[in-house]
Amino acid sequence: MFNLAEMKDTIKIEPSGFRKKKAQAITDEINRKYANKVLQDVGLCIAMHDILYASEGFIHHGDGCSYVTVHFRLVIFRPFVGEIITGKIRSCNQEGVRVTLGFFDDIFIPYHYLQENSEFNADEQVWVWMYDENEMFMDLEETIRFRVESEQFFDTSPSVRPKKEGVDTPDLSANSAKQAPYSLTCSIHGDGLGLLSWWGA
Amino acid sequence: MEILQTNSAMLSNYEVMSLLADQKAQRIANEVAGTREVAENLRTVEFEVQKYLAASPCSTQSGDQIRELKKAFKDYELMKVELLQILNLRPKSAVELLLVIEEFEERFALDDCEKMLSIIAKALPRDDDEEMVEGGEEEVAENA
Repeated sequence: MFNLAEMKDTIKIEPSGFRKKKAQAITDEINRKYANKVLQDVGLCIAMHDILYASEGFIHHGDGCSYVTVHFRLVIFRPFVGEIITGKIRSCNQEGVRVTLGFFDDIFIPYHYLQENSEFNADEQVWVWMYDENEMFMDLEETIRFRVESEQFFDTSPSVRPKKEGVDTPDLSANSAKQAPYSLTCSIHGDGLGLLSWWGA
Repeated sequence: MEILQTNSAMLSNYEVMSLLADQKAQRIANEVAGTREVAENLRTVEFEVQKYLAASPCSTQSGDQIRELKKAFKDYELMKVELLQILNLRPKSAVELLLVIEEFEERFALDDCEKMLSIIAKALPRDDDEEMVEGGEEEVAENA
Protein backbone atom coordinates (compact mmCIF):
# COMPACT_ATOMS: atom_id res chain seq x y z
CA MET A 1 0.00 0.00 0.00
CA PHE A 2 2.78 2.39 0.93
CA ASN A 3 6.19 2.69 -0.65
CA LEU A 4 9.16 5.02 -0.84
CA ALA A 5 10.13 7.43 -3.61
CA GLU A 6 13.58 8.95 -3.85
CA MET A 7 13.60 12.63 -4.75
CA LYS A 8 15.91 15.58 -5.15
CA ASP A 9 14.74 19.13 -4.69
CA THR A 10 15.89 22.59 -3.70
CA ILE A 11 14.22 23.53 -0.46
CA LYS A 12 13.74 27.11 0.67
CA ILE A 13 14.12 27.81 4.36
CA GLU A 14 12.83 31.16 5.51
CA PRO A 15 14.88 33.12 8.03
CA SER A 16 12.38 32.35 10.78
CA GLY A 17 13.31 28.71 10.33
CA PHE A 18 16.99 29.37 11.06
CA ARG A 19 16.27 28.99 14.75
CA LYS A 20 15.26 25.39 14.25
CA LYS A 21 17.71 22.54 13.87
CA LYS A 22 18.64 22.21 10.24
CA ALA A 23 17.26 18.70 9.81
CA GLN A 24 13.99 19.70 11.40
CA ALA A 25 13.71 22.83 9.28
CA ILE A 26 14.26 20.81 6.10
CA THR A 27 11.78 18.15 7.20
CA ASP A 28 9.14 20.76 7.93
CA GLU A 29 9.58 22.47 4.57
CA ILE A 30 9.50 19.21 2.61
CA ASN A 31 6.34 18.16 4.40
CA ARG A 32 4.82 21.58 3.74
CA LYS A 33 5.55 21.20 0.05
CA TYR A 34 4.65 17.55 -0.52
CA ALA A 35 2.35 16.17 2.18
CA ASN A 36 -1.11 15.19 0.92
CA LYS A 37 -0.25 16.06 -2.69
CA VAL A 38 -0.37 13.79 -5.72
CA LEU A 39 2.77 13.59 -7.84
CA GLN A 40 2.24 12.44 -11.41
CA ASP A 41 3.12 8.78 -11.88
CA VAL A 42 4.43 8.60 -8.32
CA GLY A 43 1.33 8.58 -6.11
CA LEU A 44 -0.07 10.39 -3.10
CA CYS A 45 2.67 11.79 -0.86
CA ILE A 46 2.13 11.17 2.83
CA ALA A 47 5.23 12.51 4.59
CA MET A 48 9.01 12.66 4.42
CA HIS A 49 10.75 9.41 5.34
CA ASP A 50 14.39 10.44 5.69
CA ILE A 51 17.04 12.82 4.38
CA LEU A 52 19.81 11.10 2.41
CA TYR A 53 21.90 14.18 1.72
CA ALA A 54 21.61 17.92 2.25
CA SER A 55 23.93 20.54 0.78
CA GLU A 56 25.02 23.70 2.53
CA GLY A 57 22.52 26.51 2.46
CA PHE A 58 22.90 29.15 -0.27
CA ILE A 59 21.70 32.68 0.17
CA HIS A 60 20.88 34.62 -2.97
CA HIS A 61 21.35 38.33 -3.47
CA GLY A 62 18.34 40.29 -2.27
CA ASP A 63 16.73 37.33 -0.56
CA GLY A 64 17.20 36.28 3.05
CA CYS A 65 16.12 32.73 2.56
CA SER A 66 18.49 29.79 2.60
CA TYR A 67 18.29 27.38 -0.34
CA VAL A 68 19.35 23.81 0.32
CA THR A 69 19.61 21.00 -2.22
CA VAL A 70 18.18 17.95 -0.55
CA HIS A 71 18.16 14.31 -1.48
CA PHE A 72 15.34 12.64 0.40
CA ARG A 73 12.78 9.88 0.44
CA LEU A 74 9.03 10.30 0.71
CA VAL A 75 6.40 7.90 1.96
CA ILE A 76 3.99 7.43 -0.94
CA PHE A 77 0.55 5.89 -1.02
CA ARG A 78 0.42 3.82 -4.18
CA PRO A 79 -1.00 0.33 -3.93
CA PHE A 80 0.22 -2.11 -6.55
CA VAL A 81 -2.17 -3.60 -9.06
CA GLY A 82 -3.58 -6.77 -7.52
CA GLU A 83 -3.21 -5.55 -3.92
CA ILE A 84 -6.03 -6.30 -1.48
CA ILE A 85 -7.13 -3.35 0.68
CA THR A 86 -9.96 -2.68 3.09
CA GLY A 87 -11.93 0.56 3.10
CA LYS A 88 -15.38 1.93 3.79
CA ILE A 89 -18.23 2.40 1.33
CA ARG A 90 -18.74 6.11 0.72
CA SER A 91 -21.54 6.11 -1.82
CA CYS A 92 -23.37 3.96 -4.34
CA ASN A 93 -24.95 4.86 -7.65
CA GLN A 94 -25.98 3.19 -10.89
CA GLU A 95 -22.41 3.25 -12.11
CA GLY A 96 -20.91 1.44 -9.16
CA VAL A 97 -19.58 1.92 -5.66
CA ARG A 98 -17.26 4.59 -4.28
CA VAL A 99 -14.91 3.61 -1.45
CA THR A 100 -12.88 5.74 0.92
CA LEU A 101 -9.83 5.01 3.05
CA GLY A 102 -10.22 8.27 4.99
CA PHE A 103 -7.10 9.84 3.54
CA PHE A 104 -7.84 8.76 -0.02
CA ASP A 105 -11.29 8.91 -1.64
CA ASP A 106 -10.80 8.33 -5.34
CA ILE A 107 -11.50 4.62 -5.33
CA PHE A 108 -14.21 3.37 -7.63
CA ILE A 109 -15.68 -0.09 -8.18
CA PRO A 110 -17.59 -0.05 -11.47
CA TYR A 111 -20.74 -2.20 -11.66
CA HIS A 112 -19.12 -4.84 -13.86
CA TYR A 113 -16.49 -5.46 -11.18
CA LEU A 114 -19.08 -6.19 -8.46
CA GLN A 115 -19.93 -9.75 -7.46
CA GLU A 116 -21.92 -11.62 -10.06
CA ASN A 117 -25.69 -11.12 -9.81
CA SER A 118 -25.44 -7.75 -8.11
CA GLU A 119 -28.38 -5.42 -8.58
CA PHE A 120 -28.86 -1.75 -7.85
CA ASN A 121 -31.69 -1.09 -5.44
CA ALA A 122 -33.06 2.27 -6.58
CA ASP A 123 -35.26 2.76 -3.50
CA GLU A 124 -32.43 2.48 -1.02
CA GLN A 125 -29.71 3.63 -3.43
CA VAL A 126 -27.42 0.74 -2.61
CA TRP A 127 -26.13 -2.27 -4.48
CA VAL A 128 -27.41 -5.70 -3.48
CA TRP A 129 -25.62 -8.96 -4.11
CA MET A 130 -28.12 -11.73 -4.89
CA TYR A 131 -26.35 -14.75 -3.51
CA ASP A 132 -28.53 -17.86 -3.85
CA GLU A 133 -31.72 -16.75 -2.11
CA ASN A 134 -30.07 -14.12 0.01
CA GLU A 135 -30.03 -10.38 -0.55
CA MET A 136 -26.73 -8.97 0.63
CA PHE A 137 -26.98 -5.21 0.95
CA MET A 138 -23.91 -3.04 0.52
CA ASP A 139 -24.83 -0.35 3.01
CA LEU A 140 -22.87 2.88 3.33
CA GLU A 141 -20.05 3.04 5.89
CA GLU A 142 -19.68 -0.74 5.81
CA THR A 143 -16.12 -2.06 5.68
CA ILE A 144 -15.33 -3.57 2.32
CA ARG A 145 -12.39 -5.58 1.04
CA PHE A 146 -11.40 -5.04 -2.59
CA ARG A 147 -8.65 -5.67 -5.12
CA VAL A 148 -6.90 -2.94 -7.09
CA GLU A 149 -7.39 -3.53 -10.83
CA SER A 150 -5.87 -0.41 -12.39
CA GLU A 151 -4.66 3.09 -11.55
CA GLN A 152 -5.10 6.32 -13.46
CA PHE A 153 -3.07 9.49 -13.27
CA PHE A 154 -4.54 12.66 -14.69
CA ASP A 155 -2.47 15.77 -15.10
CA THR A 156 -4.52 18.56 -13.56
CA SER A 157 -1.99 21.33 -14.00
CA PRO A 158 -3.62 24.18 -15.94
CA SER A 159 -1.03 24.58 -18.69
CA VAL A 160 -1.41 21.25 -20.40
CA ARG A 161 -5.18 20.99 -20.39
CA PRO A 162 -6.48 21.35 -23.96
CA LYS A 163 -8.66 24.38 -24.46
CA LYS A 164 -12.29 23.65 -25.11
CA GLU A 165 -13.46 24.65 -28.57
CA GLY A 166 -15.43 27.87 -28.60
CA VAL A 167 -15.29 28.24 -24.85
CA ASP A 168 -13.44 31.31 -23.75
CA THR A 169 -14.44 32.26 -20.29
CA PRO A 170 -12.40 34.10 -17.72
CA ASP A 171 -13.91 31.89 -15.07
CA LEU A 172 -11.12 29.41 -14.52
CA SER A 173 -13.20 27.06 -12.43
CA ALA A 174 -15.54 26.50 -15.40
CA ASN A 175 -12.61 25.24 -17.43
CA SER A 176 -11.13 23.07 -14.79
CA ALA A 177 -11.94 19.41 -15.04
CA LYS A 178 -13.40 17.72 -12.01
CA GLN A 179 -11.24 14.70 -12.54
CA ALA A 180 -9.10 13.45 -9.71
CA PRO A 181 -5.33 13.53 -10.28
CA TYR A 182 -4.90 9.97 -9.08
CA SER A 183 -7.63 7.38 -8.92
CA LEU A 184 -7.94 3.63 -8.52
CA THR A 185 -10.31 1.26 -10.24
CA CYS A 186 -11.00 -1.77 -8.08
CA SER A 187 -13.05 -4.92 -8.06
CA ILE A 188 -14.85 -7.11 -5.54
CA HIS A 189 -15.44 -9.91 -7.99
CA GLY A 190 -14.27 -13.13 -6.36
CA ASP A 191 -14.21 -15.17 -3.19
CA GLY A 192 -13.34 -13.28 -0.05
CA LEU A 193 -13.97 -9.86 -1.61
CA GLY A 194 -16.77 -7.49 -0.66
CA LEU A 195 -18.16 -6.64 2.77
CA LEU A 196 -16.23 -8.25 5.62
CA SER A 197 -19.51 -9.47 7.11
CA TRP A 198 -20.18 -11.59 4.01
CA TRP A 199 -17.18 -13.73 4.79
CA GLY A 200 -17.74 -14.12 8.49
CA ALA A 201 -15.18 -11.67 9.82
CA MET B 1 12.16 18.89 -8.26
CA GLU B 2 13.58 15.70 -9.61
CA ILE B 3 12.19 12.23 -9.13
CA LEU B 4 15.14 9.87 -8.89
CA GLN B 5 13.34 6.64 -8.23
CA THR B 6 9.75 5.77 -7.62
CA ASN B 7 8.91 2.72 -5.61
CA SER B 8 12.44 2.29 -4.24
CA ALA B 9 11.12 0.16 -1.37
CA MET B 10 7.80 -1.06 -0.06
CA LEU B 11 6.66 -0.20 3.45
CA SER B 12 4.31 -2.14 5.65
CA ASN B 13 1.46 -0.37 7.35
CA TYR B 14 3.22 -0.84 10.66
CA GLU B 15 6.32 1.00 9.43
CA VAL B 16 4.24 3.94 8.22
CA MET B 17 2.38 4.10 11.49
CA SER B 18 5.53 4.13 13.60
CA LEU B 19 7.20 6.64 11.28
CA LEU B 20 4.33 9.10 11.59
CA ALA B 21 4.32 8.73 15.36
CA ASP B 22 8.11 9.22 15.54
CA GLN B 23 8.05 12.27 13.35
CA LYS B 24 5.31 13.87 15.35
CA ALA B 25 7.21 13.27 18.60
CA GLN B 26 10.40 14.66 17.11
CA ARG B 27 8.61 17.70 15.78
CA ILE B 28 7.17 18.48 19.18
CA ALA B 29 10.56 17.94 20.86
CA ASN B 30 12.30 20.29 18.42
CA GLU B 31 9.61 22.92 18.46
CA VAL B 32 10.97 26.46 18.62
CA ALA B 33 8.65 29.25 19.64
CA GLY B 34 7.99 31.88 17.00
CA THR B 35 8.61 29.67 13.96
CA ARG B 36 5.98 28.77 11.37
CA GLU B 37 3.24 26.44 12.42
CA VAL B 38 2.98 22.86 11.25
CA ALA B 39 1.64 22.82 7.71
CA GLU B 40 -2.09 22.24 7.45
CA ASN B 41 -1.73 19.65 4.68
CA LEU B 42 0.64 17.55 6.79
CA ARG B 43 -1.67 17.68 9.78
CA THR B 44 -4.64 16.58 7.64
CA VAL B 45 -2.95 13.63 5.99
CA GLU B 46 -1.19 12.61 9.20
CA PHE B 47 -4.46 12.57 11.12
CA GLU B 48 -6.35 10.65 8.45
CA VAL B 49 -3.65 8.07 7.82
CA GLN B 50 -3.20 7.49 11.54
CA LYS B 51 -6.94 7.06 11.92
CA TYR B 52 -7.01 4.50 9.12
CA LEU B 53 -4.00 2.60 10.44
CA ALA B 54 -5.25 2.63 14.03
CA ALA B 55 -8.31 0.71 12.85
CA SER B 56 -6.22 -1.77 10.87
CA PRO B 57 -4.42 -4.88 12.19
CA CYS B 58 -1.07 -3.07 12.32
CA SER B 59 -2.17 -1.08 15.38
CA THR B 60 -1.16 -3.91 17.73
CA GLN B 61 1.95 -5.06 15.89
CA SER B 62 5.53 -4.57 16.98
CA GLY B 63 8.92 -5.00 15.37
CA ASP B 64 9.54 -8.20 17.29
CA GLN B 65 6.26 -9.71 16.18
CA ILE B 66 7.02 -8.97 12.55
CA ARG B 67 10.51 -10.50 12.80
CA GLU B 68 8.91 -13.53 14.44
CA LEU B 69 6.40 -13.85 11.62
CA LYS B 70 9.08 -13.59 8.96
CA LYS B 71 11.10 -16.30 10.67
CA ALA B 72 8.06 -18.57 10.96
CA PHE B 73 7.30 -18.21 7.28
CA LYS B 74 10.87 -18.97 6.20
CA ASP B 75 10.00 -22.51 5.12
CA TYR B 76 7.28 -21.38 2.79
CA GLU B 77 8.47 -19.75 -0.37
CA LEU B 78 6.30 -16.69 -0.19
CA MET B 79 6.84 -13.65 -2.35
CA LYS B 80 7.66 -10.39 -0.64
CA VAL B 81 4.35 -8.83 -1.55
CA GLU B 82 2.49 -11.82 -0.17
CA LEU B 83 4.24 -11.53 3.16
CA LEU B 84 3.54 -7.81 3.15
CA GLN B 85 -0.15 -8.41 2.54
CA ILE B 86 -0.29 -11.00 5.30
CA LEU B 87 1.22 -8.43 7.60
CA ASN B 88 -1.12 -5.63 6.55
CA LEU B 89 -4.35 -7.62 6.44
CA ARG B 90 -3.62 -10.35 8.98
CA PRO B 91 -5.88 -13.01 7.46
CA LYS B 92 -7.98 -14.94 9.96
CA SER B 93 -9.71 -17.40 7.66
CA ALA B 94 -8.76 -19.60 4.73
CA VAL B 95 -10.69 -17.51 2.25
CA GLU B 96 -8.78 -14.39 3.31
CA LEU B 97 -5.43 -16.15 3.11
CA LEU B 98 -6.09 -17.57 -0.35
CA LEU B 99 -6.92 -14.06 -1.50
CA VAL B 100 -3.41 -12.74 -0.84
CA ILE B 101 -1.45 -15.81 -1.93
CA GLU B 102 -1.40 -16.48 -5.62
CA GLU B 103 -2.12 -19.95 -6.96
CA PHE B 104 -2.23 -21.44 -3.51
CA GLU B 105 -3.41 -24.88 -4.64
CA GLU B 106 -0.47 -25.31 -6.99
CA ARG B 107 2.22 -24.10 -4.65
CA PHE B 108 1.13 -25.47 -1.30
CA ALA B 109 -0.70 -28.43 0.17
CA LEU B 110 -4.14 -27.89 1.62
CA ASP B 111 -3.10 -28.40 5.23
CA ASP B 112 -0.48 -25.66 4.81
CA CYS B 113 -3.38 -23.25 4.93
CA GLU B 114 -4.28 -24.27 8.49
CA LYS B 115 -0.62 -24.13 9.48
CA MET B 116 -0.13 -20.65 8.02
CA LEU B 117 -3.25 -19.35 9.75
CA SER B 118 -2.06 -20.67 13.10
CA ILE B 119 1.38 -19.12 12.52
CA ILE B 120 -0.27 -15.77 11.84
CA ALA B 121 -2.55 -16.01 14.86
CA LYS B 122 0.41 -16.92 17.06
CA ALA B 123 2.92 -14.39 15.73
CA LEU B 124 0.52 -11.46 15.54
CA PRO B 125 -1.76 -11.84 18.55
CA ARG B 126 -4.80 -9.62 18.90
CA ASP B 127 -7.28 -9.37 21.73
CA ASP B 128 -10.35 -9.00 19.59
CA ASP B 129 -10.19 -12.41 17.98
CA GLU B 130 -9.24 -14.48 20.98
CA GLU B 131 -12.67 -16.08 21.03
CA MET B 132 -12.45 -16.96 17.39
CA VAL B 133 -9.03 -18.56 17.72
CA GLU B 134 -10.11 -20.54 20.75
CA GLY B 135 -13.26 -21.65 18.97
CA GLY B 136 -11.19 -22.77 16.01
CA GLU B 137 -8.83 -24.76 18.19
CA GLU B 138 -11.70 -26.52 19.89
CA GLU B 139 -13.11 -27.54 16.56
CA VAL B 140 -9.79 -28.96 15.50
CA ALA B 141 -9.53 -30.87 18.77
CA GLU B 142 -12.98 -32.32 18.31
CA ASN B 143 -12.19 -33.43 14.81
CA ALA B 144 -9.01 -35.05 15.95
